[in-house]
Amino acid sequence: MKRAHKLLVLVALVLALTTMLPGALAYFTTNTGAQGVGPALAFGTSTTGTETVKDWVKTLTVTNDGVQDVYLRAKVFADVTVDATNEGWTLSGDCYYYNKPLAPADAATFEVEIKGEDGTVNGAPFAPGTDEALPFDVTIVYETAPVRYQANGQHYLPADPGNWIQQIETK
Amino acid sequence: MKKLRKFLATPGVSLCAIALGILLLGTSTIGGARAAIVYDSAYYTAQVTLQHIHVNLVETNEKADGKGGVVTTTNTVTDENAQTGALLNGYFDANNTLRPGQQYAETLQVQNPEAAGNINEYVRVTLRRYWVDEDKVEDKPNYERKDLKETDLDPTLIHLMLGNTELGTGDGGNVGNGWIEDKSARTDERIVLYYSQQLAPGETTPALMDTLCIDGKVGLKVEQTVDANNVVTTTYQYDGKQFVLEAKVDAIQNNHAEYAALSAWGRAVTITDGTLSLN
Repeated sequence: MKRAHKLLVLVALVLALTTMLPGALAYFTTNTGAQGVGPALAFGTSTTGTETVKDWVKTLTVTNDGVQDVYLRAKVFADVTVDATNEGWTLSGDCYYYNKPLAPADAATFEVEIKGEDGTVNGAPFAPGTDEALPFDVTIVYETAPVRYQANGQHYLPADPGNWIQQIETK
Repeated sequence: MKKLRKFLATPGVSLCAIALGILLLGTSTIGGARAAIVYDSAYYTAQVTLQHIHVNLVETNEKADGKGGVVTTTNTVTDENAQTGALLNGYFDANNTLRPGQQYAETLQVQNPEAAGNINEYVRVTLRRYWVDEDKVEDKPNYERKDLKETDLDPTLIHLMLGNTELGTGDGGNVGNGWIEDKSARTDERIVLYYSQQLAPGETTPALMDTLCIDGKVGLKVEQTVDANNVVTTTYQYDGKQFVLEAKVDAIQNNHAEYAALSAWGRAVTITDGTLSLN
């Protein structure tokens, strides 16, 4: 009986304490969300240059083998007078710039014509007063760089200096 | 007479008399008369409107078909404008390729839908940006892509802009259009924005972002290895990678919003004349 009385008192105490606890509050809340994925980026520049010589004209053909558009420029080193004026190319400083980005799988040609002048036959230099042709060199060097885009989606002009000073950041 | 009484008093006769009575009563066509009290009161009607809280995420961008609208909603009422629940859906295609450096119009807003019982609310948006590998993300539905994060790639190269302000940079605070960035919650990946005003049913916030741009530097980050023959192999770190943009909208009731924000969002805020500010 004494034990039962103690148990009763304990239960009453627990109930009393429970009623003293503050009530639980709930607030109106909700949430929702969405997710989006952009297309995969593609990087990788690779070009192939081939040269042919015919009829005192040296022709360079550059093909874009990579997966992204590139700028293209060329420079001529020659012992003799040459004409490197090409449609679709613009001379700026000492380099000729291809006027538009070269897309993947596209190709561009650049021709250098040896011009005749006094002391030359068909442009080839001869020792004065002789029929002996002198050796000469005509060298074409080309360079490519990844295309850069402005905020409006237009590419920077090919001759923009910023295109040719881009530096890779190695990990 | 005496003989008759004696006869009638016999048990057999009594039983027969009772049985006969029961039989006659059962087959009798006489029914009892009953009466019921009937009362019809006038019709009384009462209508109870339960309060709701709902929120929509609205996206607008230059898709090929020029459409924009509600991307995702908590409104159980059918929303005809609700789209697939995916951001940038159909945005980039053959006619609109992704070019690092180019800015793309991508506007996100929050809407309190117009519906009976909807209450005023305060909202916040959590933006997340990160990179995933295209080979791993294929066929992965929304929100499972976060398990495929390329954690060694820089999320800050995914620029989210509001006007001339780049979200997730600088001192945070007021970024424009009534949106406040919580700098204490900022990480390279996460940007949390709070709208400072109450949103009534039918109202839409101004844009919290309007431009998306991938930094042009992604094309310059490479890894180079040199083999025994001194052949240098260059690998572009971001080649084959895709960016992910997530937007999560949270809404709380306008009454006792300070307590609701602390309870639901774990963020202490102050409401002064209806304007929310961060503590």
